[in-house]
Amino acid sequence: MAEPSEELAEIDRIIHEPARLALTTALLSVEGADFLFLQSLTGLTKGNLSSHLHKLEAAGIVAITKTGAGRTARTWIALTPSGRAATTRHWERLDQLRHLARGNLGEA
Amino acid sequence: MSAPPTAEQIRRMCAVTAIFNGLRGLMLLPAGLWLLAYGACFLFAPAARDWALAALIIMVGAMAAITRHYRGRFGQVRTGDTAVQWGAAVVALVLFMASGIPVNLLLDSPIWPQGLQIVLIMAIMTQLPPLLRRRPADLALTRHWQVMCVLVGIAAVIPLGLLTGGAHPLNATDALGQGTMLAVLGVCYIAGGLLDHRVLVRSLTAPGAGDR
Repeated sequence: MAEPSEELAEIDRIIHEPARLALTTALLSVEGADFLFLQSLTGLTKGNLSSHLHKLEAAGIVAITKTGAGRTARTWIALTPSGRAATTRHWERLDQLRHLARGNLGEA
Repeated sequence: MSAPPTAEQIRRMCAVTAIFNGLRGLMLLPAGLWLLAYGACFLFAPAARDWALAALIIMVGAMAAITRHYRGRFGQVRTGDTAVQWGAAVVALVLFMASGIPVNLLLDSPIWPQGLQIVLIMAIMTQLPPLLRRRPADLALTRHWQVMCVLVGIAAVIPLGLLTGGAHPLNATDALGQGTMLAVLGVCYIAGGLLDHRVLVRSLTAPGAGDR
């Protein structure tokens, strides 16, 4: 059985940052969302959200596409297939970690 | 996001994202107002029904304007559940038509079977999609619809007919029955839509104009 410290070492640090975890988890439930929606959802500033999204894009977790022009311009964000798998795996690890921690606390 | 979100907040964000399109409740207001007005025409001013039908154009225009408002204020989400939404609508329509037979058979009963038809439509349209998507936890955000279904359901099964010594006073296939049903559905749409919108504005923060 894995130790909590071993599970912790497997945690994806790109996804685990709280704002990015919120973004990837929200995107997990849909096909995609635009920039304005993610800004409304997280309450992040434009610059802060943009920075987080570019980190996720660089890691291959999200794909960013731009549609339209002028007033109809939209920036769409969606999880890539590997990003979807990574986010799901991340939550599974967090659940395992929680169970392990509970088990250890129970034994103490 | 001033402080890191808790697990509960992240869960809520996920649920709001999943049912964002359904939570744009102001879109139900034109339909609700139209149903209420059309029902009132049946009850009080049958001659005005043609005007009410013409008002359908205004309703569609108002819904388009409200869609633009939501898009500009909160953005857009591609939920990818069009098939689920259409599936729920088809199931609601088929069950509504099929339930017409037992409803007609119960017109002499002391309860209000048409009220149960309203409950059926509301329950399928609002509660079935999250279940079909295997996301039952999202139903926590639409408790107001569940409460309305229960309230209308209770009102429908109260045997008022026993007090009047016959059938339920609203059991009629004429203007009274149709008008009441449309008006009640309209009121439910308006109340449910406003409460959906309340959930949305409590969950999302519209960015300031300078921060878009």
